Amino acid sequence: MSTERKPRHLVGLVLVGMGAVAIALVYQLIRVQFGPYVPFFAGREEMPGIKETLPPVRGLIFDRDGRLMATNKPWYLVEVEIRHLTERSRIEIPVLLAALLTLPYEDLQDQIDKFWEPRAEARIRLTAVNDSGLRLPIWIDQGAHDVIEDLNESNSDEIVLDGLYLVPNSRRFYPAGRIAGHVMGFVNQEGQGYYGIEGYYDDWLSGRPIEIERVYIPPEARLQPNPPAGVNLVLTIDLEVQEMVEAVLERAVQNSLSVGGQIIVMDPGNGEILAMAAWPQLDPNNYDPWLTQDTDIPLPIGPAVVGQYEPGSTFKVLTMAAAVDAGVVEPYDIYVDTGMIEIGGHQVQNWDEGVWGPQTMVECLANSLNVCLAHVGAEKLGAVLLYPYLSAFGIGQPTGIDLEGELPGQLRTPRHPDWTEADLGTNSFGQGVSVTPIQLITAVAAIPNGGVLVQPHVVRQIVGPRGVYWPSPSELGRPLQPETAATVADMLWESLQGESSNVRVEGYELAGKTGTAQIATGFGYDPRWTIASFVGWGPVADPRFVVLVRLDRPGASPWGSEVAAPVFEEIVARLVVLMEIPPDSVRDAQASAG
Amino acid sequence: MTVPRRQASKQAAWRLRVRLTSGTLMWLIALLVIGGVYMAVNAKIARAGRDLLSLQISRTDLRRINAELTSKLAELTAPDRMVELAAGMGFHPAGNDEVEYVLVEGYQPKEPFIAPRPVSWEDDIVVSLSPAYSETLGQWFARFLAGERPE
Repeated sequence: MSTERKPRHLVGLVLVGMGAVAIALVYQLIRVQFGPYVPFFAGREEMPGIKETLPPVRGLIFDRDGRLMATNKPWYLVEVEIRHLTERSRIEIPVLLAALLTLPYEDLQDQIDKFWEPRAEARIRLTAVNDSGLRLPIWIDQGAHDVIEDLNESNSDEIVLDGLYLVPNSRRFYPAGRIAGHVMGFVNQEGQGYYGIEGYYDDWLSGRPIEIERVYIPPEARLQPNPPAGVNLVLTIDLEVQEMVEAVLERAVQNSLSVGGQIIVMDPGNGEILAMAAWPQLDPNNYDPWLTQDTDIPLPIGPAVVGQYEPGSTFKVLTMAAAVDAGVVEPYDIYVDTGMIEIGGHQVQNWDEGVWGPQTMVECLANSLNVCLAHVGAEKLGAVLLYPYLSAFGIGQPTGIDLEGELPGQLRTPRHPDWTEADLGTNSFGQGVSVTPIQLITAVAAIPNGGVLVQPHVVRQIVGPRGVYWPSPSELGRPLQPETAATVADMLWESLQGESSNVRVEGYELAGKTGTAQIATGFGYDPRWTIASFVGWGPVADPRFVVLVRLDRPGASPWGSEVAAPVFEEIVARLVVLMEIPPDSVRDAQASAG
Repeated sequence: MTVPRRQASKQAAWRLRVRLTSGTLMWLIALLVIGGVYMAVNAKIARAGRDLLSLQISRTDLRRINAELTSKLAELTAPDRMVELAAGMGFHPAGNDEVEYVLVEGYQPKEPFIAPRPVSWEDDIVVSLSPAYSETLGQWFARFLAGERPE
């Protein structure tokens, strides 16, 4: 009997065993397939955030030699999940943050306590008040993040940080700090670019965010796409030249007791901006003070493209170039200066109110005679010729430089209802007309560039996912014939020899013009202050750079020849080294050797 | 002479039990084999998925570290800092009167810098997968009938 029953029991046991294995297999299959998110079971966890927007990486910005000028640095937002807080962590989180980040403990504690009492199911982002009085989210850098993470992971009982979350994010970072700050502009906390390059190329740099389906179950995991990043930019700026120019400008502002200043260095052949400095400097890593200025006249961001001013004597270069090109004067034509000229009922006098007697056109420039230039503009050229020439030089129009917010300056022509004949005389020597520094340097650069006006630009190369794009220099016009440009260049070289500024850089022939401009107010010209400037280029035979120096309200001396010209000289002395420009003698020897 | 099956079962009930048991066992074994194979494949997919998730996390971390190091390096080599360092070591900027120009035969100026391409989703699609991983059996069969070389 027992022998008959054994096989039946055995079969039953095998069946039960195999059934158990089958059940275990199915259970494991469900676990592997769905993880903690098993459908149909009560109390299952909700599938965490399915859809998520991935921010793109903002494009990088390099100088012309590949030095990083703008990058994205990992930073962390500090958040607290109220439901994960404990009695201890509620106290210890603000204590740690206050000590680590030098923040007021009470403020942090208040922010947490506001949600602690009602036990709100909230996740709060901690904030702090900055130097400008603005309440902004707290950002911590990688170093502070690592300290907090180490404390959190040490599992020691010394400090409890339950509920503290450091949310990774990235922020724009400018490694060179203040250097070229006005060129760069800045990016706000929402990732929006403003001013300068960041503002002008914001759409290109910012890339495109994408929506992804975030999966937390391994079998469902898929390779996540990267959001299309913004393009990388290579600027025409040479960071070494920029640093040198900024240092020289800082010294110049201090020595001349000026309130501000700008210097632009440009390649006249292709319009590339090699350096563009402005004082006071803008630190794009800490731009808040610029947004909360408490002054009557707020300082502009990017003054080289928005800082309109009456150029004064540097403008005489354009009037004389127009007159030579139109054939109404020649370099050695004589004008007898009587110390005064009346145009449209307005009396024009020289800067020193002196009588200079017979002067060639070159001497008119060298001695910066208002009377002579008013004569050339009003009586030789006349409105019919002068204004078309000035328009051809781009005066009164934006240059189209790739920096945000460029202003066009102002040129009143006879069509303007407020224009009077007196304007013709004053415009000829740079009064009653306003320009931006970039506009003036662009116009003057046409002379060393053979009469061709080239659009200034700061981006040299755009690198996108599909390749490299080199923007080509745009020609804005040909205000002068090549022969005229050469003649005017010679005149300015010769006049510079005779100028009181005494600009000399051993081994290099330079051309240029000083300027001392009065500052227009609502009630005429301010008798106290001037804008001192200098615009020049070199080497005359093979122009490689044009430099514009502008100093606002110099207290040490009002004259461009005394405060701006030495700055030009100092810059050129360093520029020829940094740009590896050989002296004229070496270049001539090279040329004669073939 | 053969005995009909129904009659044989009536005559010996154990035969029916053996048949039932063996039938059930056969199905159970088949289920276990298929389940086991499915489980093995699924586990492999799960492991690959887990690796992918952890790789994605480490890729994000590496990118973050890389960005941190890059910006730190750029900050340390910023021109004003380099000038300061050089001055500290006793150097000063060379003036034009301190530089001598020498003509070097065949000297080529340096090539212009070209920026790296930005990160794009297209960069990730570099591995070309066999159609075996992306097409259905029906599609493969249609390709086969069309005379294309099956892979």
